[in-house]
Amino acid sequence: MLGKVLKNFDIRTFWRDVRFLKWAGQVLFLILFAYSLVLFVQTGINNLQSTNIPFSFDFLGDTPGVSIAEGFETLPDSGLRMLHVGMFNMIRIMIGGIIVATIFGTLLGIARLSSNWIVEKAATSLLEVVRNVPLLVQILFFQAFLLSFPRLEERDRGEIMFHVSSKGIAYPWPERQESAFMFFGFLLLTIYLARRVFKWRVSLLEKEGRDTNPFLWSFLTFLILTFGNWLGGYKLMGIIGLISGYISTVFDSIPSIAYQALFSVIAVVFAFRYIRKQIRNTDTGEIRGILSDDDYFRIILSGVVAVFVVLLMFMPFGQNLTYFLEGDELFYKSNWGMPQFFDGIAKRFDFNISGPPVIMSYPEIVQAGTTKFTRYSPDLGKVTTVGYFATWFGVTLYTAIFISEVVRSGIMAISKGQSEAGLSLGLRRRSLLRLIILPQAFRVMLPPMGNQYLNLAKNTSLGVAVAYPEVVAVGQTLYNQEGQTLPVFLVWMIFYCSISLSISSIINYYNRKMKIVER
Amino acid sequence: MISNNKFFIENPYGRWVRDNLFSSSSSAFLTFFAGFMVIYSYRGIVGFILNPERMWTSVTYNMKLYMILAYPDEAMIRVWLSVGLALILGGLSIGFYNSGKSISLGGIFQKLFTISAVIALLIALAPTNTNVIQNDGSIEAVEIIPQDVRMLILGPSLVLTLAFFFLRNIKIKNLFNTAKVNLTYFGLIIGSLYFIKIPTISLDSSGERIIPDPFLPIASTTYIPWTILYVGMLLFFFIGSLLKNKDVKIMSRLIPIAWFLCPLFIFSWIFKKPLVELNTVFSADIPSILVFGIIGFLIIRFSDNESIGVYRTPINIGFFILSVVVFLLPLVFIFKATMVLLLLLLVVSPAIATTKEGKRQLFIVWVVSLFVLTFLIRGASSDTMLVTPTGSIFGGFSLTWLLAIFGTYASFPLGLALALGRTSTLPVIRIICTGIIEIVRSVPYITWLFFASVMLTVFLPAGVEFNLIIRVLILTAFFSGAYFAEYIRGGLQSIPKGQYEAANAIGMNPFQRIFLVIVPQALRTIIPTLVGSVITSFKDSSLVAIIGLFDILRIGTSVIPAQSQPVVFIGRNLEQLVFLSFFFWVFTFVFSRRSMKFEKRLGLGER
Amino acid sequence: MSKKSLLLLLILSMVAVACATDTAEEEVVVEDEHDHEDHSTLEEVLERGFVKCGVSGSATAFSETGADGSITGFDADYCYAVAAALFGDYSKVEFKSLTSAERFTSLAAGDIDVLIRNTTWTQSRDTELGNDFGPTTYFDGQQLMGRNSDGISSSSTLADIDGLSVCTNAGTTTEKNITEGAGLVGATITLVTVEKFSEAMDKFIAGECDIVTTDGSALVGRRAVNDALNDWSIFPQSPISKEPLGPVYRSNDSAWGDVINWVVYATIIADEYGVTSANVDSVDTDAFPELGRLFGANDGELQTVMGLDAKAFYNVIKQVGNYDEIYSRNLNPVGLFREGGANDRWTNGGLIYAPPAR
Repeated sequence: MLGKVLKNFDIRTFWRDVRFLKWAGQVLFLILFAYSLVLFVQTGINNLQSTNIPFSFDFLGDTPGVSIAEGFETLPDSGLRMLHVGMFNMIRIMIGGIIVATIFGTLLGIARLSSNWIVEKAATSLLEVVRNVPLLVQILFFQAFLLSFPRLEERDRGEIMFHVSSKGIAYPWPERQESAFMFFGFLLLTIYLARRVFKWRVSLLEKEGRDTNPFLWSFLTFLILTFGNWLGGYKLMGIIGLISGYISTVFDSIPSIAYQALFSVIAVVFAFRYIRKQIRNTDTGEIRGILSDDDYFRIILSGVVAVFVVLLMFMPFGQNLTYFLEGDELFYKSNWGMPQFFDGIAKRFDFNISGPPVIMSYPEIVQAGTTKFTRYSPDLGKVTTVGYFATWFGVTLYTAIFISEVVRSGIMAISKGQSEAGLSLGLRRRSLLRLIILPQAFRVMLPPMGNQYLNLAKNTSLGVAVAYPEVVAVGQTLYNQEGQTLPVFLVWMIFYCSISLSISSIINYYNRKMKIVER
Repeated sequence: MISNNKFFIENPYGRWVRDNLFSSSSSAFLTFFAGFMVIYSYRGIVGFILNPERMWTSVTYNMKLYMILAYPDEAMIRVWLSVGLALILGGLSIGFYNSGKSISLGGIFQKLFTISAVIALLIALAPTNTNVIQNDGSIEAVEIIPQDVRMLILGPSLVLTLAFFFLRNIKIKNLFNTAKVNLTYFGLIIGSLYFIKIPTISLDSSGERIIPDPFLPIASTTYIPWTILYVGMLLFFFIGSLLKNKDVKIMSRLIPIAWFLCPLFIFSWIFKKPLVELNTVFSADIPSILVFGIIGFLIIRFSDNESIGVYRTPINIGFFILSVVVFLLPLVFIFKATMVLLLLLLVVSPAIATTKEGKRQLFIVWVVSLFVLTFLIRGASSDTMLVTPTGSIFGGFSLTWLLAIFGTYASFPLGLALALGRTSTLPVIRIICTGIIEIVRSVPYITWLFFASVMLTVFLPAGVEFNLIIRVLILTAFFSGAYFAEYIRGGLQSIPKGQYEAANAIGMNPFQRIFLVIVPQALRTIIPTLVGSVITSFKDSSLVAIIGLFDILRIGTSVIPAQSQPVVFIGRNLEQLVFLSFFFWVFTFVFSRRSMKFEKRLGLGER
Repeated sequence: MSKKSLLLLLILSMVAVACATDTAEEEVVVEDEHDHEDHSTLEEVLERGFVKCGVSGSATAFSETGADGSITGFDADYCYAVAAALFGDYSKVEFKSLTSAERFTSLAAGDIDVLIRNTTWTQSRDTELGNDFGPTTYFDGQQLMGRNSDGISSSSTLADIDGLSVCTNAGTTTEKNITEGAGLVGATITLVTVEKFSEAMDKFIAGECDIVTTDGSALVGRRAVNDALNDWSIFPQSPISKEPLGPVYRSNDSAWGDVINWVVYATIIADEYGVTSANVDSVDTDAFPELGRLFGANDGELQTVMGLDAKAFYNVIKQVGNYDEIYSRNLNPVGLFREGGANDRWTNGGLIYAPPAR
């Protein structure tokens, strides 16, 4: 290969060779890009050193000394834990938002296609209002709206079912008990088994041609197992806890160098296998048997990545990673790590746990402190604070509006013949929508829907404007205290990139799954 | 049952009601439910707005602050010129692109009937009372619309409704041009500035507030400029119609270009009042025009010369290297900017300048572009002569526009470059561009704004200092550039492969293929999306309030609720939020509707 | 290939470049002028013809933006005073409205000449961040505010806020002070941190928060405006933190620093003698030699040495007023009074004190 290139080498036509020009251009571009990046970063590092705040991640381990409004911990003892609270708060809003926005958006989309004049007009005007006002203004408005409710007074004290005041919204909520994790674990198992039963009965039906009642069978399986689950069947899940306990001990006893070595070896092996695959599988290029530019590039890139990973493993980054895996205290006082993770699982899946998984808990208005102040009891029922409500409601409504557009155009994209065929089979309008239109529209809707979910996830960052402590607001509080703006920004970037990646990979997974159905 | 009633079968209105509101029992339920919700929210909103606790003077009194922050009074004519330029251009394009659609008198009355019926209905449904929370926490109902006031408005509107109802069947053959009718409506709105009165705050000569505050016409100080602008708009509408009748073809190219350049011209010359020193004009601008004019002339003249054919590649590469060198040298900026334009000319000239006529036209375009570019850059790069107490001439609504427009403009070339990079066959470039696009897109805009406000300065070399507006513009360009790139990529992928092959077949080089064949077609397919993203930029620009730029939202949520002199507006932020929602809504709604219609008329986005 | 597309293309690129220019060119404020060793800010400002002053722009009574965009308030008046001293014309000021997060970077970058934005004088800000602080113009301290009807009184203490939700504004030391203070007495609080103090007040008035905390001056100001029922109390008696507010300028620039310091001192000295803008013309300089020196009698040697006009401080008093005038003009309307507080004259037991002019 190389010999052939050398044999054809001619200095006079060399610079006119397209392949040479392409690669020379790319290398030049890469060098320029890398150079400007290095210049950029170097200037940053220099400038930071000349101020008195050099770049460091140490603030993640320091105690910020500031309490935050809500979250699973309001007075975190390290910067990392504080960011963790913020991330958790953000994810809380994101998941709640995605679920409600999907349901509401779908309803709204269908309402916009309704034959009922007033429903269609109402849905359209809602869309036109919400779509044309900036989200930030809307969130601020919802905050002001909730604040316009009367304050909590002494006379309100007592047990309640549902209450709205300027302190937020209180409502009953099924409180999670000790056994909840085991119960839901078993429930997942039950659903899986019910599905298996359904498939088995269907295959029986296809084989033997008699009615095997697949739905009934699977439903009965589900019912019986869930009943058993409620009565205490979830104790079976204790096995998971037992195994997790062992895994935790194993993780605890591995020395840190083992991890570094392990990751390096894994990286090298993967790179090697990838390169071998590329060399063997040379038919991706335009001409069979010859490696294309892309192939060369992939080979070089995977080699570089492998070397980079190995280097990284033996630098401070790798050490931090092992601290994390070992659950070492050194990882910014976070007490995170693999042993802790499995330990937590072992604690939650224990044979000794008993009792119902959830108990309905009703909110109560109680005295706060020693004076006449009143508040919603923090332990009873569920209380949605003003900041949470404004952010959640704002992003949900805004996304629902866009989802309704997606749904509408998805339904309109289904050809009229489909509904006519369905109607001629004697389907009712509702069954037509459920059985024929929506499943087909879903396939068209999925990619734009994924985009809307991504937008929702990003829009939660506007909670910073209404004092909701999500990750951006918490990060801002942190760098106001410590002055470490750049590391905080890096944390934001990594966090949001991983959120985006996970959402888009879930969407892509479903997208592929839907595609297979296509014939 | 309703469906058996004669009225609902024979009468056309009855049938409409049956089919659209009560077609089935569930539909009837939905009708009542939705109707209840709509009326309930409408009454709530009216009660909220007319609540005596609201202090709407905090909005009206600060209207100038909202629009232009602290733009000096003696230069107000420049603000009006800027608005006027846009209106005049609007008038011209309405006249020129007039579709010639007409509406009959009956049609007009039909519309008026709908409007007056809706007004009558809204007045009838408006609540009489609203709840006010007293100081001791109790709630008291307060009358907001007295019965006599309601009757005073309801009576005439009902009479008008009835009158229009009968007039709409009028049989008069006269047809009216829709554009003219719409301009008349606009004129009525301008005229209403003279009559409709709103509460204001008035101060005596010593700056003390006079109580009770009078009701004055809306825009009591601005109706004269508005009238003048309206007259100008009408004038240009007729000029536009005249040009259309004369069938002046060149206008169909000039008007879009004028729209494109109008914001740049406004922001770099009219709004800014740049301090232009004559010696820089003589030492930099004129030499640059001369030099590049001559080089351009030579390129166009010899572009199809056969003896040059062999050396074309070396010449192109040479020019490329030269432009890189020019960029690195400490030269006047105008040279660097024009160099980019020259590269483009170099790429396109072999394809265009093949005939004598083609050469002549290309040369004219080249010279005009040179002049316009130099002119704009001179304006943009000069300091302003205006002195404002806040240091920046942009603030309030003008800042919102600046961010929205420049965010879009600056992100466009960047987005194009990123999209081309991402669809490129060269793996290194593709991976880098993909990485940039994905990282920029997956992080929220507000975090990028925080980056601009507190982190970007760290990365600039010592001595270079951008002010916050510029830093925000840079980051906005990147952020919306990444979004644009994805739209443009969609457009690029929609180009059939035959186009590439055809371009190859007639011997175009890759640059020519991209810039002459692919990009123009791709852009054409994505223009509707681009209009959408201008609207998005407009809405997103409100986020800069969080990082402390004095845009319209920050003025509403933070500046006005802190005013204690001469009138106490402290804590008045609900009014501002309602006003801002309405304000943004009007702009985006009208803008999106107009652009949709305009797109259809131009046939853009359809192939 | 139509020529129309070509034309459009050319225009497009032109637009692109023009934008790039707008962003790049306008701001190549190369900062050679800020070599502090060689050039004093004083020379630079005098050469420029106006002073660039960093303020908040939305702090009630300290620096608020009026309906016509003008900036008024206690801090703004000191900016005017500096301009009056330098140019004999108080209006030669260019204000820059800054957020609390960007104020020090702005000062360090030379965006502004002096920062008068209710900024607390702390050790780290004075040393680490490379600033110098002028004389304190307003002595403030963090306090809390609650409702009498909820059982709060002006004698309440931090221990009384156990279990309550407290609102405060971000970006300053207030969050840390209240967290530490509550932690010391063992009180658990829900701390809602908002961006601006006005938002915190909205939440307090609406009832989302039971208590609001920030600098005492802001609390008193808002109580005077919003508390129609006399229901709000400010506690504890002695603030939980010290917040001396004053002008800030860059380190190692004593010529400029002296100007700022003595502008403030001049207003204080004038106040001690009872010289106001109304009677400054009729002041008997022979009877009070200190005033004579300050207002430019005897050739105003003291001022000319500083690089100022002999009549510089006369102009300050004439055009802007003495400390008491500045204080009462801006802060009395919002209910902040000098009598008996830390901001009274030193002769009345306050802390406002100036070194002698001689």
